[in-house]
Amino acid sequence: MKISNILVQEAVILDLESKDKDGALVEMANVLAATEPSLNAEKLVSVLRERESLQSTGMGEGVAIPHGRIANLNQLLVAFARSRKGVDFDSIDGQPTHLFFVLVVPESSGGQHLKALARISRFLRDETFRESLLEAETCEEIVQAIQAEDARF
Amino acid sequence: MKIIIVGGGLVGATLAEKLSGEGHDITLIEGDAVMARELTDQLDAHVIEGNGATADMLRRAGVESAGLLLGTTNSDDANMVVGVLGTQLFNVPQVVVRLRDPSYSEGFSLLHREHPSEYVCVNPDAAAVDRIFSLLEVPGALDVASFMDNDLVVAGFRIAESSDFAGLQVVHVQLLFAGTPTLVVAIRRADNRWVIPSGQDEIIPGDLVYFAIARTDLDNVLSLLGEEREQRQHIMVAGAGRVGLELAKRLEDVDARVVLVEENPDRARKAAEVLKHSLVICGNVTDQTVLEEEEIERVSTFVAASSDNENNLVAGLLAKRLGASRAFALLDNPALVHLIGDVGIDAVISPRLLAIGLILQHIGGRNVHSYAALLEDEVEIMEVDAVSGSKLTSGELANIGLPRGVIVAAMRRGEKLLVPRGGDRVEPGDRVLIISSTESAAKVSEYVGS
Repeated sequence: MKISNILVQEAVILDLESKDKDGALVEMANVLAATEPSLNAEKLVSVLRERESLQSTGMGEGVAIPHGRIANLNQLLVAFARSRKGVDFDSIDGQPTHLFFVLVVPESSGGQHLKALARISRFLRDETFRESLLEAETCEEIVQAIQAEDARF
Repeated sequence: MKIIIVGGGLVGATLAEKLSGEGHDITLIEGDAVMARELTDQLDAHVIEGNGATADMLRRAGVESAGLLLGTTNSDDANMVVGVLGTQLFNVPQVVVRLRDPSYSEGFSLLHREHPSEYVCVNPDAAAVDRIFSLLEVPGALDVASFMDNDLVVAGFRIAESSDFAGLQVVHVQLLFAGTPTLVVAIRRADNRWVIPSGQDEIIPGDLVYFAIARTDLDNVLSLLGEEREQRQHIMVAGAGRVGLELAKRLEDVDARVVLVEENPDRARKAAEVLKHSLVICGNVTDQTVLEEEEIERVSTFVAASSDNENNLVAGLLAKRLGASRAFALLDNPALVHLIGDVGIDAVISPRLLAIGLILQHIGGRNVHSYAALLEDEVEIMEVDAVSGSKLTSGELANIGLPRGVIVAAMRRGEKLLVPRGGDRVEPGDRVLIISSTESAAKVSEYVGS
């Protein structure tokens, strides 16, 4: 499963305006919902919030992977967001989060979403990849960096 | 508590060591003079030489003040006598005996139906069949044990290069399975070092990783590992002894395709009479032509279940070399068990180690529901009932000073299976799954006891 096949450029946020966790979730949900007519932004926010309440998806090293399942969705959706200033996302190392991958999957997707989550998690462990995301100047460069990482595995 | 153990073989001696480590007062009776002397040197226990299946000897060992009597000799007859004396004559509060022959255990329960002593029969062969059956249920697993009324399994897998887990950190497994108690509980690295992992530890291809898996997550975990469930398993069983024959019967019940190979013609004939649609072959499984004729290359799992350890090892290796996908071997010799990781057998089943686990979980006062030692006995898993007044229930998990190498992996409260976190408290009445290195296991009992 290639992440770059799922991510569209319209779902990339170069610099988040929000400084807090909930604001960031709302901002990302709005952008992702705008790319998919069947996706309701408010519903998405509540699903993401619910998942965060179990345990933060802020995995440390400046990285978070908010995700959730939505009924009646046709396919996997991915958004990417970056925050230059960093967001306090209750991450496990207590450090601010700069890079976000949002993953939304159909309720009935079975194990697909886990494979996508595992893949994104593995990508983000690569320091060079994180740096290329942090240094990218445009949305295109971000999509290219993700394509390059996808090609490696 | 004063505990008397009759029989100082592997089972008796191991139990003596574990239980004395937990602070119990142990007297061990062993019939063989040489062994008795060796045990005196090895164990922190009072060792008496003599026949423990006599009233006289049990009295000398102090049976009248004992809280627990264990019959763990190699002989069913002797263990039976120990059980009868303990329950009928001495009214020992709890009696646990090892009986291999199921018809004996039946007789034993009839005899004791109306008696105040609590007695338990432990059958290592039946335990071995259960274990093999659990292993077959989880493809790719090298070790499996079930907990929490079967809602949670702990299983060990070798991580393949292509597995989705390869390269992830332990904390990512929690990210993937948030809200369910599916997590990594132990890792054995390629250099054979065991790690009870923290979140930052990485899962590396070649690692043997033990997961606790909520039953509802099992298919997803298997899919991430790259394992697939077969439609209909094709199993070859070597040896129609108690374990082999019973296993074949149970496999017939789940509609597996079974080939049973037995060298002894009488046994083979008997097996063929009992089994309904298994194929029974009279032949030697360490003979390459026999395996090839039975299309060993199409077998999904080969189970070497004869009573001969070395034979099982050889047969298992041969089956693997000739193309069986997996091979399990029954091995009771500890020296051989320690060799296994390296030689290519996928899983080793030791009836005696299983018997030890069963006996430990039956011993009263420990509040233990299930107990399992992972491969090579380095890591222990205990399912316990939390009791009030215990250290375990004395505060938030992060603040009760659990020793290093101890994980509270899952918690059942009412119907719900929960994932305990540092800020959570264990309440009296909760059922808790505790995983610890064997070194720390004695300390765990301090936390569990009231």
